[in-house]
Amino acid sequence: MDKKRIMVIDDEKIVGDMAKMSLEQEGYDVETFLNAEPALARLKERAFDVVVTDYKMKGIDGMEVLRMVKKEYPATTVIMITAFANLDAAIEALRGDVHDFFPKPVKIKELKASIRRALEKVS
Amino acid sequence: MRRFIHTMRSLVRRSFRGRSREEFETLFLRFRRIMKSNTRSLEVITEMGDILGGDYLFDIQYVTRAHEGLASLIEESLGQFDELTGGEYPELLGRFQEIDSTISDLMAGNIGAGSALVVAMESEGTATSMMVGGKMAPLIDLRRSLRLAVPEGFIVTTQGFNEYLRHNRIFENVSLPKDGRPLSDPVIEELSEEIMHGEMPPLLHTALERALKRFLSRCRGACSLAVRSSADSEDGDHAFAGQYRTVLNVPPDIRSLELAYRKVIASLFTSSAAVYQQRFGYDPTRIRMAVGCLAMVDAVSSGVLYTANPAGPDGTMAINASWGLGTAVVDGIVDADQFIVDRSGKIIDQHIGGKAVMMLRQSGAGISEAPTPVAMRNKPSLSPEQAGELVRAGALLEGHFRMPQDIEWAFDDTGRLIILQSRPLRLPASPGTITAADRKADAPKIQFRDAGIVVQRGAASGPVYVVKQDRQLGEVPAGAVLVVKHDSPNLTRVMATVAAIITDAGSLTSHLASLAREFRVPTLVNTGDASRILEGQREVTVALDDLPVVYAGRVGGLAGKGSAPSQDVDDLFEFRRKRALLRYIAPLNLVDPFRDDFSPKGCRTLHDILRFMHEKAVAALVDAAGFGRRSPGAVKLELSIPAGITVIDIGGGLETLKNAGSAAQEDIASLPFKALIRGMVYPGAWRSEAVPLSVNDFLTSMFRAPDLNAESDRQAGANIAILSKEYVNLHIKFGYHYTILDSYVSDTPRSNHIYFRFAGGATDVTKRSRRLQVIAALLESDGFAINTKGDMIIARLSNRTREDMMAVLERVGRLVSFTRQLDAVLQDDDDVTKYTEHFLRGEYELTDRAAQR
Repeated sequence: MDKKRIMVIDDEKIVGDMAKMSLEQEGYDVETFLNAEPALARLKERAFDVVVTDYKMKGIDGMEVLRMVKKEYPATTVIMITAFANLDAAIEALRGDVHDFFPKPVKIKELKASIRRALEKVS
Repeated sequence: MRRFIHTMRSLVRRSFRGRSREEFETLFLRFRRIMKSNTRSLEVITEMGDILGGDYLFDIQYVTRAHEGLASLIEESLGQFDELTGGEYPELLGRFQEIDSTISDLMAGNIGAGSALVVAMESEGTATSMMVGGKMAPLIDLRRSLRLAVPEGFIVTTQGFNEYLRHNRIFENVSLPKDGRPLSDPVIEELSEEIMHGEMPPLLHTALERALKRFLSRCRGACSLAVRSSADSEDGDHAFAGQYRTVLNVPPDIRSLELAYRKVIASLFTSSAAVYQQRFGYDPTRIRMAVGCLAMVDAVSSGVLYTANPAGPDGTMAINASWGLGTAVVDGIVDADQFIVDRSGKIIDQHIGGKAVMMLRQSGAGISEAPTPVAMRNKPSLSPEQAGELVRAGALLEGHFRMPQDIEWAFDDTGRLIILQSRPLRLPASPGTITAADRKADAPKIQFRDAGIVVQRGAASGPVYVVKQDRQLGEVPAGAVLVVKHDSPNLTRVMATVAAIITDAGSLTSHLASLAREFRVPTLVNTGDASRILEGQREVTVALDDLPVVYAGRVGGLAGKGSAPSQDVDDLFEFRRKRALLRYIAPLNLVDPFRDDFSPKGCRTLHDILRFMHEKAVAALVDAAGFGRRSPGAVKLELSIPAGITVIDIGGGLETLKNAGSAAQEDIASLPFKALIRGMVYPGAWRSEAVPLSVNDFLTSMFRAPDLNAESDRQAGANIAILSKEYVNLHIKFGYHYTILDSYVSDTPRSNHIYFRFAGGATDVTKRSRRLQVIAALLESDGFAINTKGDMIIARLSNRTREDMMAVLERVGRLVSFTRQLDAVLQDDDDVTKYTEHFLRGEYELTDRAAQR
């Protein structure tokens, strides 16, 4: 079976780096992006099973990413992470059909579990 | 809490006579405020340790916020502290600000700390690793603190490096990739060229000339220099072992020195940098490299010492030694001598290598390989006395830096031991196991002349690729079993793609060994003749563990067995840089109040500042109370156990004393304290002999002080209890954990409370957390509300009758004694249940299963 593909978008390199290394340990194929534009372009080239995106980013933000992914690639699961743990953002994101929502700092174990659940749901 | 303070006030008022009453009341409230914000600070530090520990995705905002919160808590505390001590430690605030601005600088990615372009090795000023790099900072430190000999010389600081980059506009002239993509080979080459052909900035040139002149006026003999990299990466540039260049035997003239300087800083940009960037997110454009220009040591013998022996047995150190310069050992050129030495300095095992060649200083510049005189070849390059001296120095260094060390050393022509480098030792990642069933008894084994030394365990299969010259490295296919004669810094290029490595020469302590562990490539060194034997062999399977075997052909099922897990976040460059902040926050260096460096100047971290405040706040309060019979007075409490508690009675806490200056258990009148002490001295609960710490506990003590037992008795004086008839406020520290207990017990259940806090410990985090589980379970069974954070537990209980409270406090007392050394025996999670049940049954025996094994 092919490796499941995961995309991580966060404007801080350390978040992407850490997510990549931790998720690769689980056997996923992981690509990271520092902003949304190249990430969305990449989605046009290849399908991803899960997109983990930061909420607040310069340019296209996480909500926008969520909307576009849901519209263009409904099979792809979106997980949102954010430094601004406020309830409004969470509610807005949940309304937009986000699979999960994590305030930063995110416990890596919980992110992994969430991704696992998302993938089980799909298959 | 407010109600409680009110009660306190009225108590204090009622009981004190004379002028000091009001004063003491104010001081005690200040003391409580300090303790409260220090507790909160420790919670934040613990939480930061957790979050930055690798289990969380975090961003800069988190780090900034946590740091700001912490700084303002400590500032608040410092204000109260200044009042409490009557301004006795004016330097403390300055020290705090220095540490804090270092943290801010690191966070902002600035190279803070100083504007000097060149500093002398003997300088007594600040020399942080941000300023002089991760290799030189420990050298300066160990010369100063431990009085060990290091080479004389000077260091071009990171500021000097910045000046060079700025003057030559290095990063402006080369177009760097955006979006964090790795540098391409042409860009790397261009950067290196730009640096090599850059002009020496006039300021730096003058500073170097001056430093060189001073060096020449002090040195004797040839006075040539070893010019070594010292990057500002906070891990003592451990991650990049042997990657940066060292230029040896540089003639002491300004031209040669400046050329060597350029060569060293240009080595930031080599093709191995790209490999690191791919693999670990390492960004060479963010490194600031200081350069050490140190006197060349005329080494009679030299080599490497590991203060923990990765190949076992526990508690031993490993030395590799050879004649002449140490390059022979670290580059794995010779079949070096190996000595396994116990901590008393006794050699318990040795292998005398062939040492066919040795590295020597050439008469002009540079070094060269020469045949070792035949008579010396099979002679040990280290005498038993020298091995002993080395091990003692190693133990000192390990204790000082609180981690096992990887030390480069030399004995010079006068027989003096000189430390050339000391950095944290990276031990092999713990592998899975290769079972007997995995091995195929009938598969043909390949025999080498020597058995070889396993530097990274694991199993792998692949086509054999024998490399005789470095330029062949470009052709090594991915997945190959690489066979080389000896180490080469160029091997980094293929490290990420090869399946396994086998070498003819080499040692446990070479750069290659460090790299193999870092990249977790199964590696066997020092086989003697693998490159000859394996020539022409198509495919092999290596199975490297206690019984290393190389099979001809592919042995199904073995590959990947026993391999260490792949890299984890610990290896990531950005992560390490962020986590490096903790070095200025979490470690505790001020452990012994009887040492000279227990002073504001000796504080190196925020934790040290808190520790200093704690100790001195307690002392100030005891002082303010005054010794004697008069209340408030401080007296020593003499118990059947050496708990070392000083008691301050603020009213009705003690009976009238027969002896001035000391009180016995039966003199205690304070209700809550009486119950607590009854529990603490309960037969069997206090174990008087020490439970030994295992090596693993010791290894993980980076953020902790290593020796649980050495200071416990001398420390004990700092334990303090403030008493009244119905109240106790107790601060105790046993070894490396702190307990705070605050309790009020009266006939009104509504007013009664117990606050209990427990934090720290000297053992590894797993054991400490097991101890917390035991404590939590036991307190919970008494109805406490529990809150745990990292390795801290806070428990509260209130609204119980006086009788209930007394009974609970007695059990808490037993718990305090019982758990003092409990962590050291909690080998697995079953032990948590076991000891919890034991305690509930009233059995307090601790059996150290690890020691029995």
